[in-house]
Formats: sequence, C-alpha cells, structure tokens
Amino acid sequence: MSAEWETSFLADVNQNIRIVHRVCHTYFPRDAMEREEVFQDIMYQLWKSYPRFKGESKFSTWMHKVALNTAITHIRRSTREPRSAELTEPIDHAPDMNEHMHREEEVRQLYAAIETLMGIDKAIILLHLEDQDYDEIAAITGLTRTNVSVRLVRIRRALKEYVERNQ
Amino acid sequence: MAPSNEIENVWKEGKALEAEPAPVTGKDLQAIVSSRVRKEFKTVSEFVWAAIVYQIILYSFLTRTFIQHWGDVQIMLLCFAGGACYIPLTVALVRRIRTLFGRPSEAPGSPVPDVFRKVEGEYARLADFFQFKKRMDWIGVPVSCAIIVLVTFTLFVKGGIEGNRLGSLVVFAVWVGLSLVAIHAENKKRFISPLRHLELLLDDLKHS
Repeated sequence: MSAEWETSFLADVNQNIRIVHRVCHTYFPRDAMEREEVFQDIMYQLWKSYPRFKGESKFSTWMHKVALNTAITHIRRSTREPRSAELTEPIDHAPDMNEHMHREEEVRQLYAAIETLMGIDKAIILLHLEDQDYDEIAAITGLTRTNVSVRLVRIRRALKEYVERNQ
Repeated sequence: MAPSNEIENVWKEGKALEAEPAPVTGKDLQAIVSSRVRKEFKTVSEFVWAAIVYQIILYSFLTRTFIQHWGDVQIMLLCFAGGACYIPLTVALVRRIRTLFGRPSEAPGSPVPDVFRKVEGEYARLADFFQFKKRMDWIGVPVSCAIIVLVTFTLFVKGGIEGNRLGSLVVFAVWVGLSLVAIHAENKKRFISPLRHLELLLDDLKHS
C-alpha cells in the first residue's frame, strides 16, 4: 500500500465515515462488539475494493454499497456463530448515539422501529434517510426503482405503526 | 412524531445529536487490514484442515500398511486400490474449496456487486459446494470406511474378512452411521442454515 494511495483512501473514507457508523448502528444496534467487528469488516472491504472505484457513481453511493453488502453478509455469518451475550460497551470509532437516544425519545423509537425491519428494508430506509434518491437506492440494492418506491411506502407505514403502538 | 415527513425529521434530529466520529488513521487501517487478513486465512485454513485431515489419516494409514507389508501382494494391492479410489475425491475437493473461497468479483476493473447480485452469488457458490460435498460424502464415506475395515480386518483380525463377515459388516455399518451423524451436524451448521438464511434474503429481494 503506497503512502499516496493510503492518504487518498483515508481522505475519501473519513469524509463519509458516518455512512459506516450508520450502517453498523442500524444493523447491529445492541451489540457493541459485533458493531466494532462489522466496522472493521467494512473498512477492510472498502480498502480492498477502493482500487476498483472508478468514480462512475458518487463515492458515498459506492461506500453505501460496500458497507451494506458487508453488513448483510455478516448477519448471514453470525447466524452460524450466534453471540449469546448482549453487550453495550461503546466502540472507539462510533459516535455515542446511545447517550443521545436516551435523551431523545423520538430518535430512540425510530431506531427501535428500524430494528424490527427485514435486512433489505433496513437498507432501503437507511439509504432513503441518507438522502439517496430512488435510482441510487435501486443501484445499490439491485431492486427496480418501482420496487424501491413500493417498499418505501410499506416501510414508512410499518415504522409509523410501530411508533404509534409503542407511544 | 409529527404527521408530515416525521421519519425524516426525527432522523435529521438524531444526526444533529451525534458526536463527531473519530477519523480512521493510517495506523488504525494497518491494524484492521492485518487482523482481517489473519482472520480470512484462519477461516479458510480451518475449513480446509477439517476437510483434509480425515484424508491425511487415511493416506497415512494406507502408506504405512503398504510399506510395512511390502511383499504381501494382497495387502499391497488393497492399499493401492484404496488410495487410487480416494485420490480423485481429494483432487476434486481441493478444486472446489479453491472455488468456494475464491473471489470472482475481485478481478481488476470489475464493479462492486449490488446487494441482490452479492447475495445471489454467495448463495450460488455455497449451494454449488454443498451439492458437491453431498455427492462426495455419498461416495467418500462408504469408500473410506470400507478401505479401513478391509485393511484392519485383513491385518489384525484372525480369519480376516472371510472369517468375520458379520463382524466386519457391523463395524462398517457403525462406522458409516457415526460418520453420517457427524456429517449431518456439520452440514446443518455450515451449509443448511446459511443457505436457508440466504434463500430468505433472496426471496425477500425477489418478491416484494
């Protein structure tokens, strides 16, 4: 790894590092150790895939794609080796979202509602909330634009119902 | 939550509350890359060793017996035939393991697959290997059990196979049975459960 390459990689990644944290937090909200493991997995996949990033899409779109692929694959792997203990220890790189969520009930409820969604629905709502448009969401997930829009309606309804039920 | 754009508003509110995440430094990156490379290697080597160790035992047993009974044509032929039956299975296994752990999407210039293609590719590779493994188990387990029972009875049991037909059959059946129980547990953990999970993901992606 050359110093120039590493500097360029770190600059691009650090500009969008919140994407990695949000994906980790959305998919693994309760287990700090697993979140850290997935964070490292994503960083490793980004590092490996970076030479193939040709700037055909926005860097943030590409980063979302790599992060979501890794998180979803990790869920598959963790069904083989389930963790029994629920850990809440904060991780070095992650913003301390838990503390703020305690203070802000609405935010906490939204995260709790998102946690109830299926894997791909989590990805869709996360991308939508991160201001990705339908075409970008379709490109990242491999779904059609129509499919994304139909799913988003359904997801929003499910989230709203969850929040209303738990108010 | 407020009625209009409530989800987006709450999300933005949450973003505003977030602390600034620490940037990843070159040192962090080096540590992450080293640990992941070690982990990948460990995962691959664990699987390869688990699959090959049984065959190493079998080959060692045959080779030792072959050398020890040099001159006894019947024993030598038995060992040679056993090894010859098993070599194609070993070669096929090594090839399939390389395919399973290979990364076809990482060829220079190839794009990062979308989530659907990624899950689909992973499902196809795992299902293909599982299919091969099932075929290999159906052939490999009876063959290896038969080789071991044949050689063991010929060498160490008075009267050999001829004098102990029922006994050798019982030992063979028990050995095959135990192997099948172990294989079933391994298949469930390493293949059936992960494939079911990937199937659910694919179904979810296909039928919305």
